[in-house]
Amino acid sequence: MEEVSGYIGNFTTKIRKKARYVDPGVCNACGECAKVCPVSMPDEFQTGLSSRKAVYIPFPQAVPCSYILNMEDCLGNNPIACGKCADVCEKSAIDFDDRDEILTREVGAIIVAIGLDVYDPAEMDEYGYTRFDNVITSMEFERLICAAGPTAGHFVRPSDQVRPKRIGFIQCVGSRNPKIGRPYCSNICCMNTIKDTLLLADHYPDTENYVFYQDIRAFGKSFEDMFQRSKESGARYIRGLPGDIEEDPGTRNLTVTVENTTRGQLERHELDMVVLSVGVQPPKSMDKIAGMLTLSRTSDGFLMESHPKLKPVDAPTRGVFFAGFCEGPKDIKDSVCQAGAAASRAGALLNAGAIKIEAITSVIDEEACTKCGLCAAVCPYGAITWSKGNVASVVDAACAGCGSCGATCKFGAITMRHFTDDQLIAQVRAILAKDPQDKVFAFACNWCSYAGGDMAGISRISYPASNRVVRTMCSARVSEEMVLEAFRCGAPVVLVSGCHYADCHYINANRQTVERVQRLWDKLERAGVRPERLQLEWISAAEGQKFAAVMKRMEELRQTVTNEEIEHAREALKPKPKKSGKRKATAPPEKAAERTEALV
Amino acid sequence: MTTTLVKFRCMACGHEYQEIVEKGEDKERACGRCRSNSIRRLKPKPAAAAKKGGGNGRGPSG
Repeated sequence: MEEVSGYIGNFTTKIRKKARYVDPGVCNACGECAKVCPVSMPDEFQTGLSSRKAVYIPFPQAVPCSYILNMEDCLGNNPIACGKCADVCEKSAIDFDDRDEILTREVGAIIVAIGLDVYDPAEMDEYGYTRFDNVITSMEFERLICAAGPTAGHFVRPSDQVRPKRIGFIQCVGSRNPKIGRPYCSNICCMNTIKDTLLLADHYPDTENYVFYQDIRAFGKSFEDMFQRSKESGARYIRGLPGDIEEDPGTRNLTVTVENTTRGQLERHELDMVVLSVGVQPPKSMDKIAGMLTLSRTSDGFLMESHPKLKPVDAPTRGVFFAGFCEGPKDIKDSVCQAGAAASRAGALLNAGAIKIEAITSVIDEEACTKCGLCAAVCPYGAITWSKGNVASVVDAACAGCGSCGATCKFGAITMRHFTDDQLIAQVRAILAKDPQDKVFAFACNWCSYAGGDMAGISRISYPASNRVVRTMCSARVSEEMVLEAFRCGAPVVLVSGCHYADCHYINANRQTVERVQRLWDKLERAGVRPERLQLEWISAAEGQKFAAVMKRMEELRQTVTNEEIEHAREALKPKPKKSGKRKATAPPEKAAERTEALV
Repeated sequence: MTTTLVKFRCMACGHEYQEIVEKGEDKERACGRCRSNSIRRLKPKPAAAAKKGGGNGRGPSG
């Protein structure tokens, strides 16, 4: 996919159809072309354990069953440098003039199922993956033991083609390891290794299998039973991850040094082969897809769902659904379940023929709009259409109602339905109308921080009763003016709180909050107001404890603010009178529009 | 990747620290001492302003 535009029910996609250089409608897969091709390259499907030609079938089950010509490997088509494949093809299926095509398709829904990449263990030098031939990855193991693999299923070690009799599996290579930036569990490796030990026990009963692990996570249906069967088959499970592997240059055998944490002793095991049970990671194409579809990612790099429990296959961008690994590590069964759910969700959407849109969306006042386009630049969903010199407009079907645009517009041209500026300012004034000096004033986002307060309540966690909370859908809805108004009304302290970065329910709208609070700190300091009186916190719905702790800290901070400071802030932050006939703006709308055009 | 050394101040406990920040970095910040998210990115002071009696900070022609 090269480009996506539009919104739910009305996406326009541009898809690159790569040139095959072989007509699949004519090719009968006789293989004569590959026989004469002089190029030999590592076969990616066999993890480089065997070779392929420049013209090849990608893998035995490929559909259509037709050869392709990889022009990056071919000696050249312009001019034709070799042409032997075309010479021998009786069907004349080879077409050196084939070109990539860009197809445009109108679609109503998009399912993202871009799969995964496996971790490259080369950086973990202690395991010697790049130094020792007989250290292989679990993916290479799969090819070696597969009947359709490079050795036709005869399991041999790479150094001497002899069947290994003592095999060690090292778990969590590239998983659960914060030191290499991969703190997450890859989910599938434990069961994959258990399956491999059973396969080896079945094919070669005299093999000794050792599994070095930190935890065995066999939590699926019948998985524990499979784990027990593996142990009964003779596989020896040793709790502890090896710190070092050495090779005997004569025999090419490997000596693994490990601290057995069950026995509490250092052990050395001589093995014929070591299999690194490598973790998984988001695919390289993730950045491009996430950018095109305005998707957010978790701290692990996987795509974030709209809601982890209630909308586990929906993307935050409406009309986009997830299936498989791109959303997080999962096994085949879970991937199939999610794929079915995603297809059902997309099908239900398309069959309905109409959608219900959010009630809380933005409305642009065309008369007040100065055509600066800042709203379009900050919209995480790309729901605002704008071009230089034209009034911005909101696509209701794409707007999710975060309110970033409303808080950004300095001209009052954007109204958020149900969370208008007037409504929110009125709440601020009402709360601080009486004894404001005794109150901790807080803005909390609907999904996380406010729910964190609820969690503190239902968990019976006590916190000071001085806090007063105004709820907004997203912390990005809180404009500078709302915070300043709170100080003008006598608030001793103000808290702006929202979702953690990874949890933002509006893709990445809370980054706008950070920028705004930074500007407010500067503004307060310039006005001689202690900037510490404004605080920012990310509180998730599960963090009732944190909500209570933050409120206690805010109350302690409130007690340090003197009446003189409150009065000074009231005066210093009073809005300056507008110059007659001119709008209040930091830059002329035309200048702002130029800057925004560069941003958009 | 462009990186800059940025000074931060925790607005909750006052802890100041420096960190290398990559351009376009998207990272949730928390104070290493008190875990607060009120982390203020401090702007570098202009050289002229840092001088004693540093004038208007616009340089010789300002």
